[in-house]
Amino acid sequence: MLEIKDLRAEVDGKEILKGFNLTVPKGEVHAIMGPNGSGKSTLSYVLSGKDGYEVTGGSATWNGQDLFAMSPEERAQAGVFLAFQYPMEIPGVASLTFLRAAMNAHRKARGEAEISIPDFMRAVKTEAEKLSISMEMLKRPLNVGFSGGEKKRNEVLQMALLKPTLCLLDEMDSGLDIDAIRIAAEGVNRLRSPDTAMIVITHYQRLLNYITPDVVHVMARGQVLRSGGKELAVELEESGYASYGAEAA
Amino acid sequence: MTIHQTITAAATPAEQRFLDLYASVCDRLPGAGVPAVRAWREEALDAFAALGVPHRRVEAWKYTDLRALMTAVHPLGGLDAGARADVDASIGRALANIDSYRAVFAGGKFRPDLSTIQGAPGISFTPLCAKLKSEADAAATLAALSLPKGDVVAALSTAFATSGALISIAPGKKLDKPIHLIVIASCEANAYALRHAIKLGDGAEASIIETHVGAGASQAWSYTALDIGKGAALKHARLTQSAAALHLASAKVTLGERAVYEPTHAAIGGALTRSEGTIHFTGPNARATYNAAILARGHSHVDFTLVVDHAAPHCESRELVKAVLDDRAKGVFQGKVAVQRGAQKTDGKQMANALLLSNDAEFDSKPELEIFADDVVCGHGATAGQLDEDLMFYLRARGIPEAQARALLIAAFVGAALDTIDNEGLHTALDEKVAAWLAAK
Ligand SMILES: Nc1ncnc2c1ncn2[C@@H]1O[C@H](COP(=O)(O)OP(=O)(O)OP(=O)(O)O)[C@@H](O)[C@H]1O
Ligand SMILES: [Mg+2]
Repeated sequence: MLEIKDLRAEVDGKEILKGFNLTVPKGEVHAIMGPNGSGKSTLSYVLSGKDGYEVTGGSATWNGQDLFAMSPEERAQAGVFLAFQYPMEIPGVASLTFLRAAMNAHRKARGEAEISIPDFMRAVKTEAEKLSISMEMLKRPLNVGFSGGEKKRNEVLQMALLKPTLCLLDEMDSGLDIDAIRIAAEGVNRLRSPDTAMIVITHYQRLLNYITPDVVHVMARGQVLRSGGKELAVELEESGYASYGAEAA
Repeated sequence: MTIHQTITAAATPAEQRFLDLYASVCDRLPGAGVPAVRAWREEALDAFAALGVPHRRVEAWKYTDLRALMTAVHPLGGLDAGARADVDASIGRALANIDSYRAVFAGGKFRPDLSTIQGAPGISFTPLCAKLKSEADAAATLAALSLPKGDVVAALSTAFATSGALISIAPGKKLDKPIHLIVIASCEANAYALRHAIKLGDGAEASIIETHVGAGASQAWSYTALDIGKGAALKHARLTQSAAALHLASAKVTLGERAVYEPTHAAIGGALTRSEGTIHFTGPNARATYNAAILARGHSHVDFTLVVDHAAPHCESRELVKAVLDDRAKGVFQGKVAVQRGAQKTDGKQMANALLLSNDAEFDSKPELEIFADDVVCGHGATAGQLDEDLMFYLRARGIPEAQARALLIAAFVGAALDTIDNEGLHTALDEKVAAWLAAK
């Protein structure tokens, strides 16, 4: 279970999360919707441990472990996975090299031996195929020159291979065409399990047609202002955020 | 009556050390009894004395004040019997595994017992010292080994040369494997001087790997003349590696028309490494792609200085320098592109990027363009910065530990300068050297 209590965090001295509360039990998918600048990406960075995001109050635990006591890599090894809103390009590091380093880091943390190259290649091939990602593309430097949609699918591929238990998906639908959204969503759905908790950040209810959320939260000005069932997403799509006191960004 | 007054600048202690060294070894140097050899050496010594030990007010040595950095000159090595040398241990397993024609110079001497280049098809190889024994041999050989003007390192390498590789590749010959020139400065209390000359006949294709290793605080200076014939192609990898050694190298490369020259220089550590060169285009449609990687920490000082002289039209030059500097290390890249009158359609570009891993590390980049033709495309750029924190976070957010994430990013950064190496064994060897350097911190 992910438990976030009264979380306060600031960036450059500016408070962005202002008493954020959220509980996501294992096995559930929670959607967070909210206007631009409301702090959704900030929340995902704070949970995954990015530098420069200072927690000034509150707590966040995953299965009882204090996330804020852990380094980003320890959090990842404990099952946290942030699918970035804007995946980074890493020149000079081939996607395959990167994937293997990440998988082996997880295995090492679990006390397992490194994955053999044939096993690794087989695993990558299987998952890449499901996501319509070519192996040729994975020989190239990570995300360099990839289209926006390709980068997002690459995030899902990483997730499929690392098998996280706490998934934070930050606008994984942005920049994806309709087919790609379906392909990526199917990838996410394959990871749903009784042990996995997911936070799906999105602006559009369309994604939630593919990844059915158990709960939808409305986030504005650094807080959860309202929570409800998946029909809340439909309502937001129609009425917007005006009633939550958000100015248009 | 006229009074002839010769004004000779009195040698400072910096020059005197070299002059004293020469006086102490001149009778024991190879060819000491052959007047032509002596004259050849002494002409070089005079040139050195006139130039002096360069200091920071000498433009080409602005960032590498040799007078301040080189406070002692070691006794010259390579005059006595060859020392023991374990090549594989010195250069490392991965480099040793590369299938090649080896020419090993250890302790200033050619080591036939450790070399395999003798008699290789299409390659004529002679150690310089073998040509200094008779007046006739020397006269023929030394006529082709002239001294470039204004080059202190070439002057020292010539005056003190105990040997060197004289290599000639037959026209049209395409070598089936690389030549591996292995130079080991085996005694840390010595200085070594070598003078090499390499010639590729028209249309020849070759790959040369140079590995320079210095024991302890050894000193080495060398000069290489490289002549690449019409339509010939040379890939030239050069690795200098040592923790505390001093290494001064100069190379003058001449390219005929349509020739292709692809040097990749890597300097890993070293108290002082200065590698200067001139790439001289003499005919049209030739190309040179120069890549350099610097990895330095502690008090290392690495200086790559390159002049690309476009004296012919329609030639292309590319320079890419990647420097990773930690602690108080200092990296220098001085890149000058000169375009002579009439060298139209010259295409010359250079880029230098430094990754500064500490606040005390320093990178000095001095690009220089000197253009006397109007229809040319020339450009340069330089950057210096830290590791990208966003990239670090991306890797760590995937579970990759911080140290490993840093190593991956740094290796990727320098890797850009090693990408053109297509010999897989060499690429692997250099990757391993980089990884070892990163792991050593
Ligand atoms: N490095 C920073 N320095 C200052 N302010 C920042 C910084 N990063 C984010 N912010 C501010 O924090 C607020 C929340 O940003 P965040 O990216 O979390 O919003 P979001 O809800 O993800 O928006 P979007 O829907 O546009 O992705 C914004 O007002 C943003 O300008
Ligand atoms: Mg966002």
